[in-house]
Amino acid sequence: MSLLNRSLRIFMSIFLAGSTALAQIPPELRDVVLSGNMNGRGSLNFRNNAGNIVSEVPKDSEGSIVEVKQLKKTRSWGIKIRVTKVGDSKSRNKAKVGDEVWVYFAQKDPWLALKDKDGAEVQDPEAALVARAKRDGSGIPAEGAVATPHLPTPEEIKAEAARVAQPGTDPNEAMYKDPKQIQGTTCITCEASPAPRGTSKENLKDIGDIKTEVQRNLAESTKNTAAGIWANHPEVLRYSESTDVKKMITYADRNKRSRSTGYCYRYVKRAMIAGEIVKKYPPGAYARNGLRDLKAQGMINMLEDPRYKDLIKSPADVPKGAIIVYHNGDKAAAGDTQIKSDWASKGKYYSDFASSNSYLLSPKARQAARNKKPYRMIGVMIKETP
Amino acid sequence: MKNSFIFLILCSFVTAPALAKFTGVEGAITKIQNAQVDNLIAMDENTVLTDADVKAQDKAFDAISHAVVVVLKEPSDQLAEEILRATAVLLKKDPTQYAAEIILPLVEKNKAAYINALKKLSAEDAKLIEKAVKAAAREKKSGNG
Repeated sequence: MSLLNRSLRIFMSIFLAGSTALAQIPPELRDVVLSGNMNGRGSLNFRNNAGNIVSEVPKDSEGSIVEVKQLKKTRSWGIKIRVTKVGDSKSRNKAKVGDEVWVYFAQKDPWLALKDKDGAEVQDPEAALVARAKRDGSGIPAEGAVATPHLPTPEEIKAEAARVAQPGTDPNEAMYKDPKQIQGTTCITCEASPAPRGTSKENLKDIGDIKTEVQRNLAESTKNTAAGIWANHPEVLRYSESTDVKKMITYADRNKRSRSTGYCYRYVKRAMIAGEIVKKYPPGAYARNGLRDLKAQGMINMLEDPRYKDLIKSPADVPKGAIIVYHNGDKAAAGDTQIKSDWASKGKYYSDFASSNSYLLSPKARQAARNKKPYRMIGVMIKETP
Repeated sequence: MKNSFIFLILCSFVTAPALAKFTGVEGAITKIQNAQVDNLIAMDENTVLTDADVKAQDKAFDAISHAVVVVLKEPSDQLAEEILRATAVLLKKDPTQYAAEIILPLVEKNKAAYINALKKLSAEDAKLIEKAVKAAAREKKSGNG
């Protein structure tokens, strides 16, 4: 009986481990399709002065993936492809079918689409590339490449977020750093604390619990103070302080450009996907339509909600993590969208680049206002969580 | 007396259009130069604009907008070059890249003048302008998503 029981347990554990592993397998990369002319290089070095360009791989060329490596410094990718179809080009140095060359792939600005074995476009290229790179990791890695790259797992991100949320220092220690503070000022009730009872282990546990509670209250009160007008709206606080919003802002900060590329809405959409604020990539190419598309994914427009609309007069009033949509009513104007990274006037506004000023203070919005077509906020989108 | 008066009136008729042209192109160039784009604040993500910065920026963008209108009416290589020189400076100092949108009508309606003026800039500036103009044209045509 015990043998049967034991075998059953072993079988169940193997089954569970296997099913978990299977659930996390990213799609297998098979082919690439180029959406622009790219340099085909003989080695994994994409520097301007590398001198290893062997051919030009024109737009619409296709190839099968031979090997994938992640670059150490930029964290972008080198993909070795075997060319299977060559696009139209007048270049003399055009690649030929069967050539094996390295091409560059950056998540920020991909010039190629990755396809899986069924010919479908890979939705999360980074995960698929990591998986492929891990598989290709055996052997001697090329110079400047990481054979088995490590990207943070969701668990690691969560652990990091938890560490950031907790204040790093003991509040009592912090107090002693301020020479103006004396211990007496922290006494609120001034009641004598009861004499310690129980064993030393129990006392230590109690002290630990108190410390945790103090830290939690401190963090909570700091958050509430910073939230200003939103401190009395727990549903907004829950959204703004959620891990999802934190992930979204972290992604937006990591992927920002130094200046605008004209893709503000695209970058905001990607950040929302990264933070799991929305489950599907919002359709549409115009920021002004973001209102409709984000509503379709369960977000609410605070400007249309009687609970909040009177509280928001300017971008400074917008809660942390909200997506702001701007438009001036002109059908020819695409509008603009930004993610607010902090409460009140703190923090930045993220789209394809970061700015300490909202879009309404941009030169374009100011000129539109002078031309009697002022931009205004048409949407302040958040996701209400129960 | 009467003859000289008539002569003066005739002269004013003849010189007025020439003078207007001079005022248009020269005025636009002067306006750009007065905007002192080189002295504008170079913005980054941490820059919070002051009223003075906003005023100075507005003056510069208005000067370029006005110059683009003028150069489309009265083509002038000198003005086109001045516009692109100021645009290059603004693109470096303003991360929103709005200057590219302002000069877009010039690129669309008088591409030859734009390309000629572009050739007179440094390779780095020319590349910066070309890239920004391309992005602005694409955004205008296909949106920003």
